Amino acid sequence: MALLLTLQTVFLLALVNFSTCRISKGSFEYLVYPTESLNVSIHSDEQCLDIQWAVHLSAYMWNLKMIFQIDISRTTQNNTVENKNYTTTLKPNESLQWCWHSALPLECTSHFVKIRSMVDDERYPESRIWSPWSPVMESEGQDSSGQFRIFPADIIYAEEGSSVTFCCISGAYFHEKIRFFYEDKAIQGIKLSSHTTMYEVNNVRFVRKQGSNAFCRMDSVIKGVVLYVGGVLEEPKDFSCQTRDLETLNCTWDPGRETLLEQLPNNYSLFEWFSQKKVDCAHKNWCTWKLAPDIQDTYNFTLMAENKLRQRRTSIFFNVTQQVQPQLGEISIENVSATEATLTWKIIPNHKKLIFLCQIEVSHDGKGIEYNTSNSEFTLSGLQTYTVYSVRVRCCTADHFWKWSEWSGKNFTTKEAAPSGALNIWRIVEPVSGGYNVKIFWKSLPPSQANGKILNYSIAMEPLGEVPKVDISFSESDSNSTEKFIDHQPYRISIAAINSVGSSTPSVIVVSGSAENSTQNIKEDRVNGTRDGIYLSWKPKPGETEGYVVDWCNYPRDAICDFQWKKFSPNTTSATIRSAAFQSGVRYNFRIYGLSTKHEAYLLEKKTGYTQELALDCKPEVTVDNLASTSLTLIWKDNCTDEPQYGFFKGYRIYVKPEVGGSCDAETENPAFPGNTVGCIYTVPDTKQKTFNVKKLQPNSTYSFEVKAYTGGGDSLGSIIKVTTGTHENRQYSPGHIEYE
Amino acid sequence: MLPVAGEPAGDSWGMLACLCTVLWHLPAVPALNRTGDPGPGPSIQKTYDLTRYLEHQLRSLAGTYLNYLGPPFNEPDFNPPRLSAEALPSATVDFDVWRSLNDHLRLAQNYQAYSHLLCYVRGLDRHAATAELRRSLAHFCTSLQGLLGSIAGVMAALGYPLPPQGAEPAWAPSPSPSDFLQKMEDFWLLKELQTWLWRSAKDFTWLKKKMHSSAAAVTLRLEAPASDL
Repeated sequence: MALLLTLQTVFLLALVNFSTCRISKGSFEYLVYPTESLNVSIHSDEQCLDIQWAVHLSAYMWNLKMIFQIDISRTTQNNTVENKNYTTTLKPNESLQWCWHSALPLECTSHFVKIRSMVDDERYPESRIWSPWSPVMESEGQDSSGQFRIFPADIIYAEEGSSVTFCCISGAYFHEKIRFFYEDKAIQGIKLSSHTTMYEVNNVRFVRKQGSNAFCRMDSVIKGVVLYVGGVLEEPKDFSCQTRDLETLNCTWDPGRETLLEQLPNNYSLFEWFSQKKVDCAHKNWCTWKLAPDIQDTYNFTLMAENKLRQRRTSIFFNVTQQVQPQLGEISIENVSATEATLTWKIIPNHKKLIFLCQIEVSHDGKGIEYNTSNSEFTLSGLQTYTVYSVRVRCCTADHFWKWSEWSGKNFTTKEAAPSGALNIWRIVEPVSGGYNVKIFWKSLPPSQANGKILNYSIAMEPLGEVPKVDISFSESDSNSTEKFIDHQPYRISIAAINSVGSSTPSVIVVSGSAENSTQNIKEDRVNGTRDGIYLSWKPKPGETEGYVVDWCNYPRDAICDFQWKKFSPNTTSATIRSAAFQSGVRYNFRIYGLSTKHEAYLLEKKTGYTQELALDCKPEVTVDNLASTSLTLIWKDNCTDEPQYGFFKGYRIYVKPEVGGSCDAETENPAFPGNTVGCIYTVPDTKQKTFNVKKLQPNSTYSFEVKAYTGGGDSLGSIIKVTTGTHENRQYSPGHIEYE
Repeated sequence: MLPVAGEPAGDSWGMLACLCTVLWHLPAVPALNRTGDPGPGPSIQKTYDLTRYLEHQLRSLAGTYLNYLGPPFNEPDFNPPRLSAEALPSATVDFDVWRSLNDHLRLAQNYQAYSHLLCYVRGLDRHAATAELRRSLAHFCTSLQGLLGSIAGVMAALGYPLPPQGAEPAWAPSPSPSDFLQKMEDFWLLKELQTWLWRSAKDFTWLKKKMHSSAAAVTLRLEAPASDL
């Protein structure tokens, strides 16, 4: 009994030892582990042949590195189509498995698999010997099933440009009669067995959304399958990530060209190596990831793009604090004064580790200044009062620049300040019954002096007589003048512009009606003007002067004369007065005043002139008297006057034009007439003279006479009279010939 | 099942079932007032005209659709054996059988065929790739529905009841296991439609002649219909 047990144990031990061969060759022992439990099955989803096998348990315990040679034959056992060396390190609890992808669908024919192993471990170099082949395992094809079929049978997807292999199994039909078509083309095949032929279609292209048809045809019987061709999935380009707030990461990329197939969606996912987290992306070109800023700063992302046919990936590595594009909250503007303002803003993300650099742009009226700061506040100074400023800020990370935030902008207005400077004022004094009417004019302060919105003007009238009294009135902000009645006392008038903060320095003039009266006797000088302006000069006022004022009206003949004035420094004694309103033929009247240090004004001179004189619009009518053979008297009548328009009326010009040529005597000029006829002009520089004696005429000749009034701007119109002188012999008064025109 | 063009995936068959239910409960056309009415003649003529019009529509529709399916379906003489013949009603029938059909049966067969076919035709929308094709299909469905109503009108005018409505309340064509087989079914649907319209033309010509001859009390002249029934 005990012997039997021992024998059994020995037998069992021998059996165990048999699977672990120890081949002795000389003094060495070799380890060989033949494979066992070989199993093959078709994995139809993946279209691969799933091969599983094992080796003896003890090999796993030693973590051996092994090579397995897998031999796959097709249709017959010695027709090897694949010979794979599969290397692995044996690990406990890990099964040995490999799925073989076959271009030819596995159902087309039988496949035969055998495996042998070899220890490939440097610990046992002497064991590099192949084990014997395992028994062959068969994966049966459908070729003997007796059915007419095509494989692959289900929906297939393929990439553009790739090759797809089909097979037709004839089943009960006569195999030679079977033909294979891809779309409308018949394709030649390779016979695998008596029932199966394989067909390879190369370079498949997208034809239509409904797919391409591949089919086996036996007369009118058809077995087919639809092939959907899609574009090759491209590797995502320009993969980059950034965060706006250190809480969410936004990753974007360019997915590349479309794959054209609705049925083959492309899925994108992000995998992060340090945290080992994965996120599926809902969009094909962007994705968000939740950050943990206190836990992790550096990230290693792999973006994976995959569809049924292909997988692509790309990776980036970065520190998230260097991929921050800040966001700015609204700018708040505080402590606004007339010249300063403080800006504050919020920067997101508000993180201790991050330092920002901010750019501030301040501008008004198109001019801008830039500032830089690393704080989130800034005080502007040196600003203009009562001005609208436009301010905008943007920030970026200071350590490693990534991207500027968007500009955040705001407008504000500096506060008002009291007006600086003083108004430029002047006056006209006119006598009326009982006193004088004073019209006071002022020019508005420019914005640089107004320092705010001018609310009104204050006019203080202070009589300089015995009774001290001040009368203050106000004028609206849009007015530029006011009228006041004064009696015969001198008055001190002060005018100031008022805004919400204060008033300008008052401008003072002293007006005295009687002083104005006494100046009526000053003679008016006539001056010459040019198109450029009218040049005036005056004698300086003796004694101390504050300066001079020249005043005039731009439209002297209109009801609203547009009163103008100009102030000059004490040393000035001449000026050229220019105005866009000056026109030809209009006489402008200028008054020149001297200002005393006590703000009193004294009229010094009066001038009058034209920028350009024009001819008068009258027409002298001429008649002849005392017509003789060599002389006659011209008499003319006109309504020419020296009005204050057209030009200064200086006198008359008499034009003598003989029918037949002659010469002019010394008193005349000899100008070129139009038409080059010879003639003479007599000038009469007296506006009151209305007659002229013409002598030294040729007897019995015809002359044309014309009398014109002239100004500095030319001649008026004239009427022509044609006269023929009498004959010489005839002592009798021969009237000759008078023709009027 | 693949996602259907333009429709939410997976719901298309439910929708079709719903549509076919609605169709099955088509309101019966009220019987025409017999006194002084011109008889069923004009509506038979109208039905006949409709079948010719539908034939014409089908020609261009089928041409476009078969091109979408791709070869071999758009080959001019493509004629594979029918596989799922049971679902679709067949127009081909033995000549003698056809000739001996009574009016009621003749009309009922037409009516039942087109109600089945209409359900199928609506399903073709899943493959319509362009808006233009979808419009043609919608137009064809409307015309087909009109034909159905017209046949119902003739039946009512002649005093025949409509075929039983409660029999298959929620019937719908079932999805095919493979895209290729689905294409094959689409091909057969169009072919069957073509055959049915051709046959209906013959049916209504026959009926027209019958009405005409019975009204004028003239011997019914039997014309041999087309021999390739």
